[in-house]
Amino acid sequence: MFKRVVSSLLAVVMVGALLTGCGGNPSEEQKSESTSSESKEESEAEGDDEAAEETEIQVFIAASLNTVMTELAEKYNEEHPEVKITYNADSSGTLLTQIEEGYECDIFFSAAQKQMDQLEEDGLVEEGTRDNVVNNQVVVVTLKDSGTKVTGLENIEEAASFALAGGSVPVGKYTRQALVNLGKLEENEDVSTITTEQVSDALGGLEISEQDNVSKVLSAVAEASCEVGTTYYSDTYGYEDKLDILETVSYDLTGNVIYPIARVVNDEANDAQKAAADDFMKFILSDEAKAVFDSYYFDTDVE
Amino acid sequence: MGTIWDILNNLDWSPLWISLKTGAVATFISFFLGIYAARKAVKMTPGKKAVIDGILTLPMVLPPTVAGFFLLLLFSRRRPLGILLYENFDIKVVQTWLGCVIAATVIAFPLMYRNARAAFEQIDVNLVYAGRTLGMSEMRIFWTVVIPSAGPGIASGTILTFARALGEYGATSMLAGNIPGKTGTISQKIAMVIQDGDYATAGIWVAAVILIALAVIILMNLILGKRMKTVKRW
Repeated sequence: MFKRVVSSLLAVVMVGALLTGCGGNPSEEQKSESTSSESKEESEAEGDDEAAEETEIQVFIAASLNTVMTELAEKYNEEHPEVKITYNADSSGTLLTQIEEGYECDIFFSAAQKQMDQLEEDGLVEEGTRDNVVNNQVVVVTLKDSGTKVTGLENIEEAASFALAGGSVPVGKYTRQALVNLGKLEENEDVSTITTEQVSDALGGLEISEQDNVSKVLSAVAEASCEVGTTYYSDTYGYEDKLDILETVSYDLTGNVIYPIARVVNDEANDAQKAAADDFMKFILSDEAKAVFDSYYFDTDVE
Repeated sequence: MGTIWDILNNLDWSPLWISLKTGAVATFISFFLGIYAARKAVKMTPGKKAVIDGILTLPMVLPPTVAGFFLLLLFSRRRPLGILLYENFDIKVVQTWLGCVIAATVIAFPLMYRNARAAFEQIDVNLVYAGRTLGMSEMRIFWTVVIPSAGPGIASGTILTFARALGEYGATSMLAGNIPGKTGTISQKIAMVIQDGDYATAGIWVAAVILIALAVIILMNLILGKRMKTVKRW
């Protein structure tokens, strides 16, 4: 019995030692991280080390903004090499949850108003910093030279198959909204609750392949699993050789697809970080940045 | 071909190191924790064993994103445990590499535990009794009799754990985020570039992760295979 107790104690100690042993590594990482974030005092101690002057800001961006924001960060760093912009790219919903659960974040750039509204409701948006950056258009796409008879949402029934994002996915919601406004779907208080079956029935039994995000819609059409699909204009960037755009659905039908940005309450940020975040946000809203957004097919004509 | 070389030259290799480090550390932790838990489970009464086993296998059942969401709530900087860890020990799990390790460990752990347990349950109990008769300590029996007999099961558990930890995506993206150079693993990188329609870069990363996984798994099989003298070909 005694031996059994000793052996299990040993095992516990072993596991404990392992855990603390492994804890050592990340804390080291944290140290190097904190040198860049809480750099003030330490940078003075380290003397005139260039890297020590760096101010790191945390910018959370919707995944669809990844490419354009990477380019914008490079552009910004040309003039402000002292600011290190750290991106966290994921779906806007995930980012919202992470901010709510205490992720350190200075700027949130969402793909939809819904998440920003929620964040504002939680009191995590710095007052008066919220702004609309770009608008995005829903487009109907098909594989290049597919010879489809479809010319847009008007006669989408003529397709053999249709790749449509689910109602909870923004692009799926906007497509449903447009179909409602075209009189193809019945009015519904919350269009996102219209199921794919209902859309299929309303479109005369059209075969619909439900996708759970925009990139799957793109792949489904680009790999010819579906004849047509709806996605954002900006998401067709990089697919110019593979896809034809049949119709750019007007805002009158879909409503605006605004990408809002705001400064997020961050208790850990020091003054340098706050100033850098303010400045970077000003840059995102500048005409120079607009030109970059335009080149990635975003519509910068927003209020 | 030119474009592929361009991409390779300009590629940021950080996801590779992050994934490799995460996979290795998560496997290391799961290895010992899994064996420890399996050994405990084998000695339990059937009722208790059924319940504990169910709980330990749960991370495998839940979609990784959901498991990640629970982990995020658990380690949240606005909730008790997260606050406690940060204020008292200066340990931050969310938004750090430690988060990657914890996410990968939690998701991959059941594979180690389940395999080790199955292996322990199949060994010849007479060997353990013989050891006891000969006056060996329980500890010694465990390391010199049980572990070698359970070798193949433990090896397969280790390999599966590594494979799962290397490819972990859902829980990692929830708990640790997708921060390039810090928590951006290969899986997250692939998801990101596919979204941009950049199939060339995606292909490079897929090739990288496949090569690493193959190399490590073959290596582990060779090393472990040599040590397992009890394994017969048939």
